[in-house]
Amino acid sequence: MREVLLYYGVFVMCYNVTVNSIYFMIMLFSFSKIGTIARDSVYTTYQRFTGSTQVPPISILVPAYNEEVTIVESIKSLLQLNYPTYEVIVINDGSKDQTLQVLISEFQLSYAEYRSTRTTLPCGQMKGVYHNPKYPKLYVIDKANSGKAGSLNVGMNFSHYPLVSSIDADSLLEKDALIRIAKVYLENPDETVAVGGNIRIANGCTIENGVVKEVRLPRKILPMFQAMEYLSAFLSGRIGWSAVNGLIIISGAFGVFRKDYLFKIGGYREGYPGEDMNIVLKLHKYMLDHKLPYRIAFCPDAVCWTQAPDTLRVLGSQRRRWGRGNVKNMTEIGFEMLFRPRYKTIGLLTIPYNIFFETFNPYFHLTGFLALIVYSLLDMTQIHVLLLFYLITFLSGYLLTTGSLLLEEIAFNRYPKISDIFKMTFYAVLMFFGYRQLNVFWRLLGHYDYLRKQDNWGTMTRTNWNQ
Amino acid sequence: MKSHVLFAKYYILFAGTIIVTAYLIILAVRLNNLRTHKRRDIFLSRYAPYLLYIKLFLGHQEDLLPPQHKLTKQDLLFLQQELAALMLNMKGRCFEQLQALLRQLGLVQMNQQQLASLFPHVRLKSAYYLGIMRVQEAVPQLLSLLRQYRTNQPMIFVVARAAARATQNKEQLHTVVQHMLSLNKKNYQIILDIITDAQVNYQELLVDYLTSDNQELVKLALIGLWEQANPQMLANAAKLIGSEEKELRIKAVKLLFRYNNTFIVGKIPQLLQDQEWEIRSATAKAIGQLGLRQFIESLKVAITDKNWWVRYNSAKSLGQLGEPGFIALCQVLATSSDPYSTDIALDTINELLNPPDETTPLKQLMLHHEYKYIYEQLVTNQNNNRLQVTA
Repeated sequence: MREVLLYYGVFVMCYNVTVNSIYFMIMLFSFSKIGTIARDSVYTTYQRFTGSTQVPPISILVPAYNEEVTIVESIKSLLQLNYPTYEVIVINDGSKDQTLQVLISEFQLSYAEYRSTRTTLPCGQMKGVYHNPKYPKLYVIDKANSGKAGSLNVGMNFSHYPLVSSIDADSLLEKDALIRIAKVYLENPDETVAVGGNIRIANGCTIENGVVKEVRLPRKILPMFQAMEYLSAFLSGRIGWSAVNGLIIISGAFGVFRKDYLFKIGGYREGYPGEDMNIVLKLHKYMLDHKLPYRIAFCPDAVCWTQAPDTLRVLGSQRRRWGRGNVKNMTEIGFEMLFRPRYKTIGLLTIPYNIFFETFNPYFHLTGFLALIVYSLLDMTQIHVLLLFYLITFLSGYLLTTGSLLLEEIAFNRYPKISDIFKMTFYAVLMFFGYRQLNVFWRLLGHYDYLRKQDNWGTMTRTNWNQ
Repeated sequence: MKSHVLFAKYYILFAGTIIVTAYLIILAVRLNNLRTHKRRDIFLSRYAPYLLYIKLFLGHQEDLLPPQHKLTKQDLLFLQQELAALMLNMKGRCFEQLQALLRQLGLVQMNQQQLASLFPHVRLKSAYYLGIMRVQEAVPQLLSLLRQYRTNQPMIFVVARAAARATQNKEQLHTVVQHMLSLNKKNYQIILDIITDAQVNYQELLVDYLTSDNQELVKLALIGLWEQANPQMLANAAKLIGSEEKELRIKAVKLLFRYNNTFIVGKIPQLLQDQEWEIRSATAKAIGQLGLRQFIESLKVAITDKNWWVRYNSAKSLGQLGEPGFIALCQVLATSSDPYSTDIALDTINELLNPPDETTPLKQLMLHHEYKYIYEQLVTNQNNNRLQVTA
């Protein structure tokens, strides 16, 4: 028994060293790119593109389910973007609240049956389209509830432009976010199949007419933790992964895709959460199967502000959904690409990393914790060794957070007060005492939900932008 | 065991040192940014009268004078930023005055020297400013810097734009284009945006490209002429309609339709039969945009095309062709047995029959009533007759 426990301890240590090494490696990739990103934002004149006929038109798809509280503000923000040609297609996914009615009333929309929409992608039946020529960019599609993926597929079938952007209804795009993404696309239009935007937490910010007027850190503890998490995930993680073309997720809250390739891969997979990761994995697979040169890029200065859940119930529901979406994607596509050289970085690095260090991570956390208790009970260790072990784990995690703060400071500097640094530091430490453990627990519950074939969206409530 | 603990302690020390160092850097960067902002604010308030003088005397015959007091290095850089921001949108005499002032301040020389710096970020910054100032004598250095970028990294666009802005002749601008195209990334739009920023008449370059053997240059020209093209250019573009390269044909057709070229209008019946759906679709779209009512019958056929875009653009075009187009849509709806074409005709009709409101102009209101009457005559009555026959 003691010997088994000892070997397990060694194994967990090796696991920890490997996972942290990969994290650091990805963070180093991010650091290698950050200078270019910072200089690009200083020396590139994006304003030139806003009036250019050379910029490709974009269809913005906004799936909406029970979004009556935030939808009008979000749509107003989308109608004010600095972008030459675009359309906003809101897909009301059978909302049970007044989402459709508030849109009809605010924009004085009138109904049309619309029978001629393409049926290229599988999706539910459209009930009709609402439009007002006074708002020529805006279309609202009404359909029976079929989930986010089905809504996006309906939107793509209806859309008129070669690029599509998926945006959450509870998010606000910065005015030049699309033009910044378009610039990344135009740098290499033949090979760029998707570009992800940066997601930041809007809780705490001052918002007027759908525009973030003053950037502030969240006042509540849970949104603050999420602000720190997003900072790490997007700056340390996604910049680094995109540097090696190993990005396997473009946040559902904001991303731009080439529509022709989305049609080729059959659009979004319906009936299960995690459709944002699924679509990117399918794109990788398609491009690599067909030996086509491609890149899936990330544009950190194209910012989308989103509302973070501020209650444990809603946050837990979101994280369980993420956990179950991740397992589904890994079992559905991940294992097929795992360790296969033809899938390059994705098959040899990103997927193995995701399976062993993201999906299985909660089990190692849990068993590692139980093992420590047993070590203590069997007198196999001493308290100072345990403390050392915890300190190492903490410092390794904290090192990554510090790296993200440094990246933020070098290239973006969105939180300008000195006190913001101290506030972020404080919460970054606090996260290790309870919040991270809760996340592990939620992810395990997500896996349990997956085994139970639970596929509903879970709880999600919205609050007004100015609260 | 002891060695493990010792190793753990070393790791903690190492990680702790990195974290502390990172925080020191964060604080240093933050304080430096705050100090720079503060200095800039002081500069702007101290030199507000001077900056006002510059704005007031821009466009005058006399040269702009440098500030009376000797500027510190930092203030000189702030002034460069301010003047560069002005120069971005200036032409003619105003630009010349600012350029002369920057020369007098020694900023042109300074940036030229920095172009040879060992640090890439310094070279990039000076290239950016030399480009904004359009410094002719820096072109060879800028082109040589551009050639050092062998991959499609974002910074290449900054250097290429700087070089393009500074170029004084077609040959130099062509060198920029050639280098960008040599990276083989098909980023024609961004290349065009860069060359339109040059002083050199880029249109002349595009005209040359149109007859080039290099297909990449031809594609660039076809996209570039979208904004402005003369009959000679269009005549050259028309020759590309017979090209074996699909992309060239599509781009040429779209360009010619944009300028309502008589040659292409004469080709409409053949183009609506073309094997490429992009060409059929562009043709169907152009008929409506150009108001070519003589092709209504062709559109009634095109609305049954197997490609969705061709059907969609045919219906939209019929909707744009006024009363005869609307009658054609109603006829398709009433008589066609193809569900795809009837659906798209019905959707277009519904859009045109959208109920008017109090702000609708009288002319449009009358057209709306006319459409409604036509619809009732051609569709509603016919359906009623059909129902009676069935009964």
